[in-house]
Amino acid sequence: MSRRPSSTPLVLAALVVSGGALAGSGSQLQFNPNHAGHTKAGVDCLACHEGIFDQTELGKPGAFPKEKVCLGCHKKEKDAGNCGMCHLKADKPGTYVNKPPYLIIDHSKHLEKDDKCEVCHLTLPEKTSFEKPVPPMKSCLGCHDHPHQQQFDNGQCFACHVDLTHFPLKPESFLRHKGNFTRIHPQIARSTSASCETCHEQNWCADCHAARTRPMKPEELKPDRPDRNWIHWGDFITRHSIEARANQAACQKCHPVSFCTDCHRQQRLTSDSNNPLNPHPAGWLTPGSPLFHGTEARKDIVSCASCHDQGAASNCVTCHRVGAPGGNPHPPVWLSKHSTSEINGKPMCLSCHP
Amino acid sequence: MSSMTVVRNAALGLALAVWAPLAAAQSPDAGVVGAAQQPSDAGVIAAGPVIDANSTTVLRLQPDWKAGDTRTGFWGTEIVGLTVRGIEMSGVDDLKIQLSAWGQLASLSDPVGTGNGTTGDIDLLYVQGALFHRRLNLTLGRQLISGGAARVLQLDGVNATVAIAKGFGITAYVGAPVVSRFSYPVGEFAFGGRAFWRPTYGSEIGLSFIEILSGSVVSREDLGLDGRWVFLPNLSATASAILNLRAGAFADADLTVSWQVLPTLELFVKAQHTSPDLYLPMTSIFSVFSNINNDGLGPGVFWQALPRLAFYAEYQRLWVDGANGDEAELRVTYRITRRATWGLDARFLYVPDNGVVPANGINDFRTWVVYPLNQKIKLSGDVDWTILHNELNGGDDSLVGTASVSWAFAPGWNGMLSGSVGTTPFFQARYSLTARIGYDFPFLNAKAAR
Repeated sequence: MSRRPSSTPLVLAALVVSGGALAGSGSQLQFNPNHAGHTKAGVDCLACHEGIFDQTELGKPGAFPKEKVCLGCHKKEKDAGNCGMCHLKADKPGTYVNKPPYLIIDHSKHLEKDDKCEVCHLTLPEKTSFEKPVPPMKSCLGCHDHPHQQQFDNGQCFACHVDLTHFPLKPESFLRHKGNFTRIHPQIARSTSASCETCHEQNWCADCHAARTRPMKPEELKPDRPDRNWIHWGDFITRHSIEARANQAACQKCHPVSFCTDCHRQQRLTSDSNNPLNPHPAGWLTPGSPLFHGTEARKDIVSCASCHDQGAASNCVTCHRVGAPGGNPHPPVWLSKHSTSEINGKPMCLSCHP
Repeated sequence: MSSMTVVRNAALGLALAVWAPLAAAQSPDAGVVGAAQQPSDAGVIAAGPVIDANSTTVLRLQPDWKAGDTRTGFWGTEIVGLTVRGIEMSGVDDLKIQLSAWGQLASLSDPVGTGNGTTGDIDLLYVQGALFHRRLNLTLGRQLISGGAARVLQLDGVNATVAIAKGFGITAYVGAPVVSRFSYPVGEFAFGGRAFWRPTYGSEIGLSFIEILSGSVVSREDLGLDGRWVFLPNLSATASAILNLRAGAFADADLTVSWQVLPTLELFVKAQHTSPDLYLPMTSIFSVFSNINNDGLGPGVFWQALPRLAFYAEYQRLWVDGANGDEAELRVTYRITRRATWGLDARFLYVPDNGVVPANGINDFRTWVVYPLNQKIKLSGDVDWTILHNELNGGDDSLVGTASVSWAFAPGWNGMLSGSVGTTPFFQARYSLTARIGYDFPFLNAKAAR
């Protein structure tokens, strides 16, 4: 491979290696090598960062110039005690901060394809800027016949990113998990679950979403994470009937109706439990009563189902069938949406319409 | 699910949990840090299997309430997790095996919703890999299907995603919905898919379909349309709708528009609709009884007022049972130190009189703190106070407090002890005690690309 001089800042490429060094807080940053100034002065990137050609992964030694390389040009400044020219803490000059890299990149392979650093490193930080010299993502995605665009499309962030916390993602709200993310994540995940999967594997989701097989709620498994806004925190048993009225479907997203029945039977609240308690108000079975059960059933059938869903053996069907006192149970719009031809295909229909 | 089946599943899961790490450990490259998700042509070469294996033991003591009698129950649960990545196979990229399984021993013979005696099950057990230069991604086994009309479906089957081009792709799945431990099958056979267009990382739209059969009868047949679109870097919208094809009505629909006014301030407005009766399987007798809607509409805000202080607030006007309700939430978080956080959640919910059940509601206040003493020991706790609008069982409020201490007492080991006490309308004194020991297998774990 040709190692011809380049007028562009290969220095930047090497500095990517030290992502940690410049990514750290101001107090951790030791150098500001003034890449823009070096470039304007015509200093070739290789003059300082020749080792980048052999760099297969970030964090390996060799990509940063040792002090003697700098002193090849700046010995006079050091002798004069002008440490502040490069070192941010002139009174206590330090060396590179060793922090784990947060990008995955093989510079040697990239440079084999094109040894021009500016292909990726489009801009240079000025001396006064502590901006990270990391290329923008469009550099990665813009190459022809390059796999990164496909990875990006597939949401395979971790092909390049060690994690996603070091970059100001736009829009920030997309992945920030702010506020009550537990509450809002279903809408996001329904259309962009591939994005979720870049950080969370299925076993993460299963902590909550494997409710059909898991024996315990997540707040029972992780009571030491009160910062998570679990659904069943605190005294949920007391709240649950009110929560269920406010959003009847919410429970069913995880719990089948039989989950309700299972518990209500234990509490003798269902008709098929021993010595059942009657939770219904007076007038429940009296036609014309303001508390007649038919009115409530129209409005909140899920509550009825939470105790009475015993399939075709449900006690509702004893009255609500053709020729029985309960008569037609269907809502007024039923016939506009369903034809009689459906009857033969549905056992539930056949239980009343033999 | 029969007890024999769950025991068999648990035994299979545990056996796999033991076998897979050992098998991988015998590989010459076992334990070498690799990068399973990194393609070789991207310049990073997988160095061998990367194994994440962990075991969590949870011991729990808590009251169980049955027909007015309070009993104390003990549950011992063992949860195992295993992920093997970076398995090299010619023509297959990103090959991965994932397992999550548990076994449990309960002292009560008939607790509510927590399993009886000795039981166990497999949450996940699948093999995943990409073929044809990652054009086809296959997942085989027990898995979670998410997105579009599927919502989240736990499925024993196969799921395939084909990346066509220009961000277009298709996902299709077929299999048997996982049978609930509560013996209520969703159905015996399910199939569906989703066609999507993902022009950018943040934007995607999809058209999906799902059908579930129960005893050869359609239990669920839905068509879904979903999308998330970033119009501007600070303006995005998320929307979805699931249409029950048999009823000709929307089981649910929602729309959220978010506007990031400032990097520290985001406003959003959310509208949602659900038809709870359409969540009942069509094989339920109750699916023929009603025609109801629950709707909500309201704004929200997230404000990072200070680097350490953030506010989240949301209000929803509810249309429940044909009348109006309200729901509001306020969440304040304050970062005490880099790792310590204090928070306050306040929630107000009011549901109207529906003609039979009187109006009711709750005011709920919860304050919590997470405070690491050092790198190894972390304290956390919360107090939850719920005030009921109407009396329940002679009480109108409940107060429950929980305190926990977790301790990384040895490399790979983590212990936690948590206690909860409170008083509620159902329990004059309520308590629970939870001990948890987690172990990450250090000789197998990768140094974690994540």
